[in-house]
Amino acid sequence: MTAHPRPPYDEDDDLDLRALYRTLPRTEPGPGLDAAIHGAAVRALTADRRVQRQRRLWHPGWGVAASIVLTACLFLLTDFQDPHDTGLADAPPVNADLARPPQAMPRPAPPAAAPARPDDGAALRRYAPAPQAERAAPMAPAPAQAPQARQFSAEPPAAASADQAATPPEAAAPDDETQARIDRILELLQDGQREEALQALQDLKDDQPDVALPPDLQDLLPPQ
Amino acid sequence: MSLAAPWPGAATAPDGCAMAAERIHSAAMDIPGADDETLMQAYGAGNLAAFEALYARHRAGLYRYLLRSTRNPHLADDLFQETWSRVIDARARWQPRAKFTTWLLQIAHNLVIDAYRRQPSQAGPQETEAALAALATAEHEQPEQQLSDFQTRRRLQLAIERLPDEQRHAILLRLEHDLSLEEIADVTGAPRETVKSRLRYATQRIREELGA
Repeated sequence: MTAHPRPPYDEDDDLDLRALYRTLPRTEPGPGLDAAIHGAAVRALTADRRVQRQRRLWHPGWGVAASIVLTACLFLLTDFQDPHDTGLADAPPVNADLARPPQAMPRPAPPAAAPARPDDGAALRRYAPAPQAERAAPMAPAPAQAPQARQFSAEPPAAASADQAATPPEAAAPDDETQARIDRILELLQDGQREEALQALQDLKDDQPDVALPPDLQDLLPPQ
Repeated sequence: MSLAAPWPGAATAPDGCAMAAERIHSAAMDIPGADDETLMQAYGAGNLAAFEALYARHRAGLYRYLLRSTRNPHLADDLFQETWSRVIDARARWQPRAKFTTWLLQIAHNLVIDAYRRQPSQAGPQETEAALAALATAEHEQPEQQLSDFQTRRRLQLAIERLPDEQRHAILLRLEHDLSLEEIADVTGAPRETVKSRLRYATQRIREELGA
Protein backbone atom coordinates (compact mmCIF):
# COMPACT_ATOMS: atom_id res chain seq x y z
CA MET A 1 0.00 0.00 0.00
CA THR A 2 1.54 3.24 -1.11
CA ALA A 3 1.07 6.42 0.85
CA HIS A 4 0.26 9.43 -1.29
CA PRO A 5 1.52 12.59 0.33
CA ARG A 6 -1.10 15.30 0.22
CA PRO A 7 -0.31 18.95 -0.09
CA PRO A 8 -0.94 20.92 3.10
CA TYR A 9 -4.36 22.48 3.31
CA ASP A 10 -4.24 26.13 2.46
CA GLU A 11 -7.07 28.27 3.74
CA ASP A 12 -7.20 29.98 0.36
CA ASP A 13 -7.60 26.72 -1.49
CA ASP A 14 -11.35 26.86 -1.21
CA LEU A 15 -11.90 30.36 -2.53
CA ASP A 16 -13.65 29.05 -5.61
CA LEU A 17 -15.80 26.76 -3.53
CA ARG A 18 -16.75 29.61 -1.24
CA ALA A 19 -17.73 31.71 -4.22
CA LEU A 20 -19.77 28.85 -5.59
CA TYR A 21 -21.34 28.26 -2.21
CA ARG A 22 -22.54 31.88 -2.20
CA THR A 23 -24.65 31.09 -5.23
CA LEU A 24 -26.65 28.49 -3.33
CA PRO A 25 -30.13 29.56 -2.33
CA ARG A 26 -30.04 31.92 0.63
CA THR A 27 -32.45 30.02 2.74
CA GLU A 28 -33.73 31.91 5.77
CA PRO A 29 -35.90 31.05 8.73
CA GLY A 30 -39.59 31.63 8.33
CA PRO A 31 -41.47 34.54 9.86
CA GLY A 32 -43.00 32.19 12.42
CA LEU A 33 -39.58 31.32 13.75
CA ASP A 34 -38.57 34.97 13.83
CA ALA A 35 -41.70 35.87 15.75
CA ALA A 36 -41.23 33.03 18.23
CA ILE A 37 -37.66 33.99 19.01
CA HIS A 38 -38.50 37.67 19.23
CA GLY A 39 -41.31 36.84 21.62
CA ALA A 40 -38.99 34.78 23.78
CA ALA A 41 -36.50 37.63 23.93
CA VAL A 42 -39.21 40.09 24.93
CA ARG A 43 -40.59 37.76 27.58
CA ALA A 44 -37.14 37.27 29.02
CA LEU A 45 -36.62 41.00 29.37
CA THR A 46 -40.06 41.40 30.89
CA ALA A 47 -39.19 38.78 33.47
CA ASP A 48 -35.90 40.55 34.17
CA ARG A 49 -37.75 43.83 34.64
CA ARG A 50 -40.15 42.21 37.11
CA VAL A 51 -37.27 40.76 39.08
CA GLN A 52 -35.51 44.11 39.10
CA ARG A 53 -38.62 45.80 40.39
CA GLN A 54 -38.96 43.29 43.19
CA ARG A 55 -35.31 43.71 44.06
CA ARG A 56 -35.82 47.42 44.34
CA LEU A 57 -38.76 46.91 46.69
CA TRP A 58 -37.02 44.24 48.72
CA HIS A 59 -33.50 45.45 48.84
CA PRO A 60 -31.19 42.93 50.50
CA GLY A 61 -29.91 45.67 52.78
CA TRP A 62 -33.31 46.00 54.39
CA GLY A 63 -33.44 42.31 55.07
CA VAL A 64 -29.99 42.32 56.61
CA ALA A 65 -30.82 45.34 58.78
CA ALA A 66 -34.07 43.80 59.97
CA SER A 67 -32.32 40.57 60.84
CA ILE A 68 -29.68 42.40 62.85
CA VAL A 69 -32.26 44.40 64.78
CA LEU A 70 -34.33 41.32 65.51
CA THR A 71 -31.33 39.36 66.68
CA ALA A 72 -30.19 42.20 68.92
CA CYS A 73 -33.64 42.50 70.48
CA LEU A 74 -33.84 38.80 71.21
CA PHE A 75 -30.34 38.87 72.66
CA LEU A 76 -31.16 41.74 74.98
CA LEU A 77 -34.44 40.21 76.08
CA THR A 78 -32.93 36.86 76.95
CA ASP A 79 -29.30 36.96 77.95
CA PHE A 80 -29.07 40.40 79.54
CA GLN A 81 -32.27 40.09 81.52
CA ASP A 82 -32.08 41.36 85.15
CA PRO A 83 -34.56 39.68 87.51
CA HIS A 84 -35.12 42.90 89.45
CA ASP A 85 -35.98 44.73 86.25
CA THR A 86 -38.34 42.13 84.99
CA GLY A 87 -40.22 41.55 88.28
CA LEU A 88 -38.97 38.01 88.78
CA ALA A 89 -37.70 38.95 92.23
CA ASP A 90 -41.29 39.56 93.33
CA ALA A 91 -42.44 36.19 92.20
CA PRO A 92 -43.91 33.93 94.92
CA PRO A 93 -41.64 31.28 96.37
CA VAL A 94 -41.73 27.87 94.85
CA ASN A 95 -43.92 25.39 96.66
CA ALA A 96 -41.62 22.61 97.77
CA ASP A 97 -44.39 20.04 97.77
CA LEU A 98 -45.38 20.87 94.24
CA ALA A 99 -41.79 20.92 93.09
CA ARG A 100 -41.04 17.50 94.58
CA PRO A 101 -40.95 14.72 91.99
CA PRO A 102 -43.88 12.32 92.16
CA GLN A 103 -43.35 9.31 94.38
CA ALA A 104 -43.84 5.74 93.38
CA MET A 105 -47.40 4.61 93.38
CA PRO A 106 -48.45 1.17 94.54
CA ARG A 107 -49.05 -0.97 91.53
CA PRO A 108 -52.73 -1.77 91.21
CA ALA A 109 -53.69 -5.37 91.56
CA PRO A 110 -54.92 -7.22 88.49
CA PRO A 111 -58.64 -7.02 87.90
CA ALA A 112 -60.79 -9.51 89.68
CA ALA A 113 -62.24 -10.81 86.45
CA ALA A 114 -58.84 -11.61 85.05
CA PRO A 115 -57.91 -15.26 85.48
CA ALA A 116 -55.15 -15.97 87.92
CA ARG A 117 -51.90 -16.84 86.25
CA PRO A 118 -49.96 -19.51 88.04
CA ASP A 119 -47.05 -18.87 85.76
CA ASP A 120 -43.95 -18.51 87.90
CA GLY A 121 -42.06 -16.39 85.41
CA ALA A 122 -44.91 -13.91 85.18
CA ALA A 123 -45.02 -13.64 88.93
CA LEU A 124 -41.33 -12.95 89.05
CA ARG A 125 -41.48 -10.34 86.33
CA ARG A 126 -44.21 -8.59 88.16
CA TYR A 127 -42.44 -8.51 91.50
CA ALA A 128 -38.83 -8.31 90.64
CA PRO A 129 -38.63 -4.60 89.74
CA ALA A 130 -41.02 -3.48 92.42
CA PRO A 131 -39.61 -1.03 94.92
CA GLN A 132 -39.20 -1.90 98.53
CA ALA A 133 -42.08 0.32 99.52
CA GLU A 134 -44.37 -1.67 97.32
CA ARG A 135 -43.30 -4.91 98.93
CA ALA A 136 -44.13 -3.46 102.29
CA ALA A 137 -47.61 -2.58 101.14
CA PRO A 138 -50.42 -4.66 102.56
CA MET A 139 -51.04 -7.81 100.61
CA ALA A 140 -54.47 -9.23 100.42
CA PRO A 141 -56.16 -11.85 98.29
CA ALA A 142 -56.79 -10.62 94.80
CA PRO A 143 -60.60 -10.49 94.87
CA ALA A 144 -60.52 -8.26 97.94
CA GLN A 145 -57.58 -6.12 96.80
CA ALA A 146 -58.68 -5.32 93.30
CA PRO A 147 -61.45 -2.81 94.03
CA GLN A 148 -59.25 -0.97 96.49
CA ALA A 149 -56.41 -0.77 94.01
CA ARG A 150 -58.68 0.62 91.37
CA GLN A 151 -59.88 3.17 93.85
CA PHE A 152 -56.32 4.23 94.56
CA SER A 153 -55.48 4.54 90.94
CA ALA A 154 -58.39 6.85 90.40
CA GLU A 155 -57.24 9.26 93.07
CA PRO A 156 -54.52 11.87 92.69
CA PRO A 157 -51.04 10.67 93.58
CA ALA A 158 -50.64 12.94 96.59
CA ALA A 159 -53.95 11.93 98.10
CA ALA A 160 -53.28 8.29 97.47
CA SER A 161 -49.95 8.54 99.20
CA ALA A 162 -51.44 10.29 102.18
CA ASP A 163 -54.22 7.75 102.54
CA GLN A 164 -51.83 4.91 102.27
CA ALA A 165 -49.65 6.31 105.00
CA ALA A 166 -52.53 7.07 107.34
CA THR A 167 -54.63 3.94 106.99
CA PRO A 168 -53.38 0.86 108.83
CA PRO A 169 -53.15 -2.31 106.77
CA GLU A 170 -55.93 -4.83 107.09
CA ALA A 171 -53.60 -7.81 107.31
CA ALA A 172 -50.44 -8.03 109.33
CA ALA A 173 -47.49 -6.76 107.41
CA PRO A 174 -44.78 -9.38 107.15
CA ASP A 175 -41.87 -8.77 109.40
CA ASP A 176 -38.32 -8.92 108.21
CA GLU A 177 -37.98 -12.59 108.69
CA THR A 178 -41.20 -13.32 106.88
CA GLN A 179 -40.24 -11.00 104.07
CA ALA A 180 -36.91 -12.77 103.82
CA ARG A 181 -38.69 -16.07 103.50
CA ILE A 182 -40.95 -14.68 100.81
CA ASP A 183 -37.94 -13.37 98.97
CA ARG A 184 -36.32 -16.73 99.26
CA ILE A 185 -39.40 -18.37 97.75
CA LEU A 186 -39.33 -15.94 94.91
CA GLU A 187 -35.67 -16.63 94.30
CA LEU A 188 -36.33 -20.36 94.24
CA LEU A 189 -39.08 -19.86 91.71
CA GLN A 190 -36.77 -17.70 89.67
CA ASP A 191 -34.13 -20.40 89.72
CA GLY A 192 -36.64 -22.96 88.53
CA GLN A 193 -36.72 -24.88 91.79
CA ARG A 194 -40.45 -25.06 91.92
CA GLU A 195 -40.77 -28.02 94.30
CA GLU A 196 -38.53 -26.43 96.88
CA ALA A 197 -40.32 -23.13 96.47
CA LEU A 198 -43.70 -24.76 97.01
CA GLN A 199 -42.39 -26.57 100.03
CA ALA A 200 -40.98 -23.36 101.48
CA LEU A 201 -44.23 -21.61 100.74
CA GLN A 202 -46.20 -24.34 102.48
CA ASP A 203 -43.87 -24.17 105.46
CA LEU A 204 -44.33 -20.44 105.66
CA LYS A 205 -48.07 -20.81 105.53
CA ASP A 206 -47.98 -23.46 108.21
CA ASP A 207 -45.82 -21.34 110.47
CA GLN A 208 -47.77 -18.15 109.92
CA PRO A 209 -51.29 -18.91 108.70
CA ASP A 210 -52.26 -15.23 108.75
CA VAL A 211 -49.37 -13.95 106.74
CA ALA A 212 -50.29 -11.75 103.79
CA LEU A 213 -48.79 -13.34 100.72
CA PRO A 214 -48.53 -11.76 97.33
CA PRO A 215 -51.41 -12.84 95.13
CA ASP A 216 -49.27 -14.95 92.85
CA LEU A 217 -47.79 -16.86 95.77
CA GLN A 218 -51.25 -17.19 97.19
CA ASP A 219 -52.30 -18.85 93.95
CA LEU A 220 -49.56 -21.39 94.30
CA LEU A 221 -50.98 -22.69 97.57
CA PRO A 222 -53.36 -25.63 97.36
CA PRO A 223 -57.00 -24.62 97.72
CA GLN A 224 -58.35 -24.95 101.22
CA MET B 1 -37.05 45.40 13.46
CA SER B 2 -37.79 48.13 15.89
CA LEU B 3 -35.03 49.71 17.88
CA ALA B 4 -36.55 49.92 21.30
CA ALA B 5 -34.92 51.97 24.00
CA PRO B 6 -33.47 50.07 26.95
CA TRP B 7 -35.74 49.86 29.94
CA PRO B 8 -34.86 52.18 32.78
CA GLY B 9 -34.12 49.60 35.44
CA ALA B 10 -31.40 47.83 33.53
CA ALA B 11 -28.64 46.31 35.59
CA THR B 12 -25.12 47.58 35.48
CA ALA B 13 -22.42 45.81 33.54
CA PRO B 14 -20.73 43.02 35.46
CA ASP B 15 -17.25 44.43 34.96
CA GLY B 16 -18.24 47.65 36.62
CA CYS B 17 -16.82 49.74 33.84
CA ALA B 18 -18.85 52.89 33.93
CA MET B 19 -18.16 53.92 30.38
CA ALA B 20 -18.93 50.51 28.94
CA ALA B 21 -22.08 50.30 31.00
CA GLU B 22 -23.13 53.74 29.87
CA ARG B 23 -22.46 52.76 26.29
CA ILE B 24 -24.50 49.62 26.66
CA HIS B 25 -27.39 51.32 28.43
CA SER B 26 -27.52 54.35 26.30
CA ALA B 27 -30.54 54.67 24.08
CA ALA B 28 -28.28 56.37 21.56
CA MET B 29 -26.03 53.35 21.42
CA ASP B 30 -24.56 52.78 17.98
CA ILE B 31 -26.25 49.47 17.43
CA PRO B 32 -25.42 49.02 13.74
CA GLY B 33 -21.76 49.75 14.42
CA ALA B 34 -21.46 47.75 17.62
CA ASP B 35 -19.77 44.38 17.59
CA ASP B 36 -21.57 41.21 18.52
CA GLU B 37 -20.10 41.02 21.99
CA THR B 38 -21.23 44.52 22.87
CA LEU B 39 -24.70 43.79 21.56
CA MET B 40 -24.95 40.63 23.61
CA GLN B 41 -23.91 42.47 26.73
CA ALA B 42 -26.40 45.20 25.96
CA TYR B 43 -29.13 42.64 25.61
CA GLY B 44 -28.11 41.13 28.93
CA ALA B 45 -28.49 44.60 30.41
CA GLY B 46 -32.00 44.91 29.03
CA ASN B 47 -31.57 46.39 25.59
CA LEU B 48 -34.01 44.59 23.32
CA ALA B 49 -32.84 46.47 20.24
CA ALA B 50 -29.38 45.02 20.73
CA PHE B 51 -30.80 41.53 20.59
CA GLU B 52 -32.78 42.31 17.51
CA ALA B 53 -29.66 43.56 15.78
CA LEU B 54 -27.75 40.49 16.89
CA TYR B 55 -30.48 38.23 15.65
CA ALA B 56 -30.69 39.99 12.33
CA ARG B 57 -26.98 39.50 11.80
CA HIS B 58 -26.85 35.79 12.48
CA ARG B 59 -30.27 34.37 11.78
CA ALA B 60 -29.77 33.44 8.14
CA GLY B 61 -26.27 32.03 8.40
CA LEU B 62 -27.13 30.03 11.49
CA TYR B 63 -30.27 28.68 9.90
CA ARG B 64 -28.48 27.59 6.76
CA TYR B 65 -25.78 25.91 8.81
CA LEU B 66 -28.39 23.98 10.76
CA LEU B 67 -30.42 23.14 7.67
CA ARG B 68 -27.48 21.85 5.69
CA SER B 69 -26.01 20.04 8.67
CA THR B 70 -29.18 18.21 9.59
CA ARG B 71 -30.69 17.99 6.05
CA ASN B 72 -34.05 18.12 7.78
CA PRO B 73 -36.06 21.37 7.70
CA HIS B 74 -38.22 20.49 10.68
CA LEU B 75 -35.27 19.53 12.79
CA ALA B 76 -33.41 22.63 11.64
CA ASP B 77 -36.33 24.78 12.78
CA ASP B 78 -36.32 23.15 16.19
CA LEU B 79 -32.59 23.47 16.64
CA PHE B 80 -32.63 27.05 15.43
CA GLN B 81 -35.21 27.97 18.02
CA GLU B 82 -33.38 26.04 20.72
CA THR B 83 -30.11 27.75 19.90
CA TRP B 84 -31.58 31.19 20.29
CA SER B 85 -33.42 30.15 23.41
CA ARG B 86 -30.09 29.27 24.96
CA VAL B 87 -28.68 32.59 23.90
CA ILE B 88 -31.61 34.31 25.58
CA ASP B 89 -31.23 32.23 28.72
CA ALA B 90 -27.54 33.10 28.96
CA ARG B 91 -28.07 36.84 28.54
CA ALA B 92 -27.31 37.82 32.13
CA ARG B 93 -24.27 35.64 32.75
CA TRP B 94 -22.65 35.85 29.33
CA GLN B 95 -19.10 37.15 29.31
CA PRO B 96 -17.17 38.02 26.16
CA ARG B 97 -14.47 35.40 26.64
CA ALA B 98 -14.73 34.34 23.00
CA LYS B 99 -16.30 35.65 19.85
CA PHE B 100 -20.05 35.63 19.94
CA THR B 101 -20.14 33.86 16.59
CA THR B 102 -17.97 31.04 17.87
CA TRP B 103 -20.14 30.66 20.95
CA LEU B 104 -23.35 30.72 18.93
CA LEU B 105 -22.08 28.11 16.49
CA GLN B 106 -20.82 25.99 19.36
CA ILE B 107 -24.33 25.86 20.75
CA ALA B 108 -25.76 24.98 17.37
CA HIS B 109 -23.11 22.39 16.65
CA ASN B 110 -23.65 20.66 19.99
CA LEU B 111 -27.38 20.61 19.39
CA VAL B 112 -26.83 19.02 15.99
CA ILE B 113 -24.61 16.35 17.52
CA ASP B 114 -27.20 15.67 20.20
CA ALA B 115 -29.89 15.41 17.54
CA TYR B 116 -27.79 12.89 15.63
CA ARG B 117 -27.51 10.78 18.75
CA ARG B 118 -31.23 10.93 19.38
CA GLN B 119 -32.38 10.23 15.83
CA PRO B 120 -29.56 9.10 13.57
CA SER B 121 -31.72 8.79 10.47
CA GLN B 122 -32.01 12.19 8.85
CA ALA B 123 -33.76 13.24 5.72
CA GLY B 124 -32.26 11.70 2.61
CA PRO B 125 -30.78 13.51 -0.33
CA GLN B 126 -34.05 13.11 -2.22
CA GLU B 127 -35.86 15.48 0.10
CA THR B 128 -33.13 18.06 -0.13
CA GLU B 129 -32.92 17.65 -3.88
CA ALA B 130 -36.62 18.22 -4.20
CA ALA B 131 -36.36 21.34 -2.09
CA LEU B 132 -33.49 22.58 -4.20
CA ALA B 133 -35.33 21.89 -7.44
CA ALA B 134 -38.28 23.91 -6.24
CA LEU B 135 -36.21 27.03 -5.81
CA ALA B 136 -36.81 29.71 -8.37
CA THR B 137 -33.88 30.86 -10.45
CA ALA B 138 -33.04 34.41 -11.26
CA GLU B 139 -35.06 35.85 -14.10
CA HIS B 140 -32.15 37.60 -15.79
CA GLU B 141 -30.35 34.36 -16.50
CA GLN B 142 -30.63 32.77 -19.91
CA PRO B 143 -32.13 29.27 -20.08
CA GLU B 144 -28.82 27.56 -20.94
CA GLN B 145 -27.00 29.53 -18.29
CA GLN B 146 -29.77 28.82 -15.83
CA LEU B 147 -29.50 25.12 -16.48
CA SER B 148 -25.73 25.06 -16.16
CA ASP B 149 -25.67 27.11 -12.98
CA PHE B 150 -28.52 25.14 -11.54
CA GLN B 151 -26.72 21.88 -12.19
CA THR B 152 -23.53 23.21 -10.65
CA ARG B 153 -25.32 24.40 -7.55
CA ARG B 154 -27.17 21.14 -7.32
CA ARG B 155 -23.96 19.17 -7.56
CA LEU B 156 -22.38 21.31 -4.86
CA GLN B 157 -25.41 20.87 -2.63
CA LEU B 158 -25.44 17.12 -3.09
CA ALA B 159 -21.69 16.87 -2.68
CA ILE B 160 -21.89 18.65 0.66
CA GLU B 161 -24.74 16.49 1.80
CA ARG B 162 -22.93 13.27 0.90
CA LEU B 163 -19.94 14.15 3.04
CA PRO B 164 -19.47 12.39 6.35
CA ASP B 165 -20.90 14.34 9.25
CA GLU B 166 -17.63 15.67 10.63
CA GLN B 167 -16.40 16.79 7.22
CA ARG B 168 -19.76 18.35 6.41
CA HIS B 169 -19.81 20.32 9.64
CA ALA B 170 -16.30 21.57 9.07
CA ILE B 171 -16.82 22.60 5.46
CA LEU B 172 -20.13 24.28 6.27
CA LEU B 173 -18.50 26.33 9.02
CA ARG B 174 -15.82 27.25 6.54
CA LEU B 175 -18.03 28.06 3.56
CA GLU B 176 -21.01 29.54 5.37
CA HIS B 177 -19.29 31.48 8.12
CA ASP B 178 -15.74 31.89 6.81
CA LEU B 179 -14.35 30.54 10.06
CA SER B 180 -10.64 29.91 10.37
CA LEU B 181 -9.16 26.55 11.27
CA GLU B 182 -8.80 27.58 14.89
CA GLU B 183 -12.37 28.80 15.07
CA ILE B 184 -13.70 25.61 13.54
CA ALA B 185 -11.63 23.68 16.04
CA ASP B 186 -13.18 25.72 18.84
CA VAL B 187 -16.69 25.16 17.58
CA THR B 188 -16.40 21.45 16.93
CA GLY B 189 -14.07 20.65 19.79
CA ALA B 190 -11.67 18.85 17.47
CA PRO B 191 -7.91 19.47 17.27
CA ARG B 192 -6.72 21.90 14.66
CA GLU B 193 -4.92 19.26 12.62
CA THR B 194 -8.04 17.12 12.61
CA VAL B 195 -10.06 20.02 11.32
CA LYS B 196 -7.46 20.65 8.69
CA SER B 197 -7.62 17.05 7.56
CA ARG B 198 -11.41 17.10 7.45
CA LEU B 199 -11.41 20.24 5.36
CA ARG B 200 -8.87 18.82 2.95
CA TYR B 201 -10.85 15.63 2.42
CA ALA B 202 -14.11 17.53 2.13
CA THR B 203 -12.70 19.95 -0.42
CA GLN B 204 -11.25 17.13 -2.45
CA ARG B 205 -14.51 15.17 -2.51
CA ILE B 206 -16.54 18.22 -3.46
CA ARG B 207 -14.18 18.97 -6.31
CA GLU B 208 -14.47 15.41 -7.50
CA GLU B 209 -18.25 15.64 -7.43
CA LEU B 210 -18.24 18.92 -9.30
CA GLY B 211 -15.82 17.64 -11.89
CA ALA B 212 -17.73 14.44 -12.50
